[in-house]
Order: sequence, then structure tokens, then C-alpha cells
Amino acid sequence: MKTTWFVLVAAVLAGCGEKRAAAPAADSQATRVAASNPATVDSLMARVIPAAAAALALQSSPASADSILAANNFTLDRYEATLYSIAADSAASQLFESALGR
Amino acid sequence: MIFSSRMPSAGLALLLVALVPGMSQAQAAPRARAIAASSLPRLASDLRDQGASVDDVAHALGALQQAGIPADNAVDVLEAEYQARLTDKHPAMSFEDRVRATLARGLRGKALAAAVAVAKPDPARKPKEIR
Repeated sequence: MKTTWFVLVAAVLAGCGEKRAAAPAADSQATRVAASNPATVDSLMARVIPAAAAALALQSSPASADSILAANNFTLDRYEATLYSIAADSAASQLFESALGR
Repeated sequence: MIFSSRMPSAGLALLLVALVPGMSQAQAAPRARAIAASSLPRLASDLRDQGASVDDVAHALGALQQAGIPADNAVDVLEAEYQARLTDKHPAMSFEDRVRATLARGLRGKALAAAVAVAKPDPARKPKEIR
């Protein structure tokens, strides 16, 4: 579990340095605004990293969804709500996708 | 951005039932929901890349979530909207308005996704500014 978290944080930090080729101006602006405020970054990370950890595990072992969600302190409803909120936020979406190595 | 690397959603529950021995359809549905939820950020980003505004996507997702639409159904809606925007980059109604109008008609499941993508403004109502 510790290794997963380490890999995730490293992936997110590496991903944040990359520039998406076709990202629209609004998206870049949102990311810049988020990155300029440490509290916002902390809040983003706190929301995105556990969800990304669960998503990575789900990807490799979908049949173990229940235990994966529980291990990451999610219920299905809470995981779904978190992903809805990440998707609604362009900076969070970018961070989430970076953490998943996409 | 294209949907090539997104997680599968359509028919996933059935696929899980077929692939995982001993898994019933009732067990597969929550798993499909969890896996579909993981692809929401990617699909939302794809829509924004396709020209939908940040606010429009956020509000449309908010409307879907408020209506209790499960993630696998929301994925269908985002995919249908993405496909529709490939041919019509400037829809007559915002995505949010089409989602709200379609939800108000009581449509759910695949019918919801299909109807959102093709929803047209009600001629009796004054059109709202597209975000």
C-alpha cells in the first residue's frame, strides 16, 4: 500500500510537469490558478490521490472492487461522488489522469 | 483527445459476469459502476477538449449527480455528447440545459444518453445563452 502511494505521488508530480498537447486555454488557466495556491493544491491532492489509488487497483483487479474501495476508505457511493466531483473540475481531472499515467 | 484509453463501460456488468466465475449480475452491477466512475474525469476532459466549457461540463455533471444517475449511465451520457460534438461543435442548447431537460422527461439509462445528445430547444421557451 505504501509503495502504491509513493508511486502515485511520484506519478502526479511528474504528470504535473507535463503539458497536454491539446489542452484548451481555460483548462491551462484552471491548472495555473490551482497551482498558484498551496491550499488548493493540498485539497486537490487529498481528493485525487485516494481516488486515483483506488482507480489504479480497480483497473488491475475489477473483480475485487468491494475490497479495493474499502481498503481506500470508500463506499461505492462515496467513490462515485468523489469521481463526479473530480470530473467536474478540470485541474482535478488532469491530476487524476496524470496519476493514472494517461 | 480520443476515447481510446478510457475504461470500458457499456456492457461491463455482463462482461464481468462472463469473465469472473461465480459472480452474479447483481454483484457485477456495483463493480461496473465503480469502474465506470473511474473514467468520468477522462470523459469530462475529452468533452472540454472538444469545446464544451468548463462550467457547462461541471453543471451538467452536477445535474446528473443530483438526479442520482449512476456513474455507468453518466459515462454513456458523456460519450454520447462527445460523439454528438464531433459533428456539431456548436449545439443550439448548452450541455447542461440538454441534460436538465432530458432528466425532467424522466429518461434514464441508454435512452437518457441518446436523448441528451439530440435534445433541441423548446420553441415555446426563450433560448438561454450557451455557456
